[in-house]
Amino acid sequence: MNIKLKVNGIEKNWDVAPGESALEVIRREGFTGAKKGCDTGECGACTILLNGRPVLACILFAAKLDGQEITTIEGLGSISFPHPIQRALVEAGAVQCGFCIPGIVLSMYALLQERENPSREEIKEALGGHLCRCTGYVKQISAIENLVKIDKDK
Amino acid sequence: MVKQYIYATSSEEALDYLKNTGGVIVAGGTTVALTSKPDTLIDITRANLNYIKMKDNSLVIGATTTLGDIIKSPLCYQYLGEGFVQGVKQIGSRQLQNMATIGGNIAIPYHWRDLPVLLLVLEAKVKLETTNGENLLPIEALTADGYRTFLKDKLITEIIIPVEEKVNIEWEKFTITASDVSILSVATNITLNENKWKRVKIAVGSLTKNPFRLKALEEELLNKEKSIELIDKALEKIHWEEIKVFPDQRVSKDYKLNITKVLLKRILTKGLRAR
Repeated sequence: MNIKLKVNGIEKNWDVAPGESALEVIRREGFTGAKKGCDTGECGACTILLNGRPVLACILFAAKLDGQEITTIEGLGSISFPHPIQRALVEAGAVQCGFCIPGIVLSMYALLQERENPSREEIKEALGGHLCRCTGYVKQISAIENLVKIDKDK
Repeated sequence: MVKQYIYATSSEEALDYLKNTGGVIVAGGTTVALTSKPDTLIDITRANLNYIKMKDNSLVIGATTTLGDIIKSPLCYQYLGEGFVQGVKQIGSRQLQNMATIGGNIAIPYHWRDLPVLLLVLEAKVKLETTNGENLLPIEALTADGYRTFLKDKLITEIIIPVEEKVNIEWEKFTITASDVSILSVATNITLNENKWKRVKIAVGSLTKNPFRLKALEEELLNKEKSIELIDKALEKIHWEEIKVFPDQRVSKDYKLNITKVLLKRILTKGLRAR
C-alpha cells in the first residue's frame, strides 16, 4: 500500500506492507536515527514524533502514518548543526554509547514545545519511557535543567 | 501475515468490515502489533470516536481517545479529579500514552490492563455496537471471564462515566520500573460524611485474571466510623485464600497477595482524608 506523509517537513510517498511497523519503514527510507532496541515498545529507542507527540515507532503500524506528519532526529539536528538539546546533553556528559539519545532528544523536544519551563518532575516523567544502560539518568535530567536555565537567563 | 490494512470512517463501516473480512479491530494498535497478525486489520482511529464531552451529567469518552488525550483533558480533570488523571499518567510511558486508547485498554487480552480498575470504581458504562444495534453495559461485563469472545462481533464505541458531586479517586500501582506493566494496582473512590465512610468503591487489578471490585471489603467499611484500626480489621476479614492469584514471573503468588494488602491499607488510609 502507498502512504503519503510529511517527514521532517518534506512530503513523501512511501510503499509499505500492511502489517509492517513504522520503525522498519522509517529506517529503510534512510532515517536510521530511530533505533531498533527492544522492538516491543519498552525501551524508547525508536521514539519519533507523530504530529508533534512522542510515539513508539516499533509498535506503530506504518499504515497509520498515512496523511500524518512525523519528525525524526534527522529533522532536529545534525553533527555539524546540533540542536540545543543535543548540545546540552553532550555538555552535561549525558551521552555515552548514544543508542538511546535520539529518542530522548525527541521526547525532550516535545516536552519543551509543551512546557517552556518544565519542572524536574516533569522532565523525569517525560524521560520515563526511555531506557539508558550507560549513564543512568541524572546527567540527562541535569542537561535539560541546564538548558531551561540558560534559556531563562537570556 | 497482514494482507490488508483498512481505515474505517465510521463505527458502522468498521462493523461491516468486521463481519465481511473476519479481520481484527485496531485502535492504538500497540497490542495487535505485538500479538496477532491476521489477514486484515481494521483501523478505527479515523471513525470519529476520538472525543471527550459532557452529556446528561456523564462524561462521555470516545473509544479511540488516547490516554494522552485523557491526561490533557480539562474535562477529565474537572469531573473525575486529579486522582483519576494521576492514575492514568502512571499507565505506560508518555509515548505509549500517546498511542494507547481507552477502548483498547479495555479490550486487550492482558490481566494487567489498568484502566478498567479505575473505571470500576467510577462505575463506568461501555457502549457496544453490533450490526444489529447498540447496547450499554456496565464495565463489569468486560472485566468478566470470556470478555474477549463476547467482544468478537462487537465494537466498543464509548465509555460513559456518571459524574458524581464529590469524586475522590486514589490509585496505587506496584511495578519494578515506572513504565512497566502493573504487578498490582488498586483504586478507590471514597467519600466520607461526619467521619463515616459514605461511599466506598474499591477495585483491584493484576491480582487475578481480571480486575475486580472488592465488594466484601467495601461492605466492611461502608457507613462505619472511619479509623485505621477498622481498615486493619476489615482487611483481616477478607478470605484471601479464596482469591485465585494470576501468576506473574516477576513475583510469587504470596508476594502478590501481601502487596495487595499493603497497597489497600495505604490507599484506604489516604482515603481517610477524603471529604
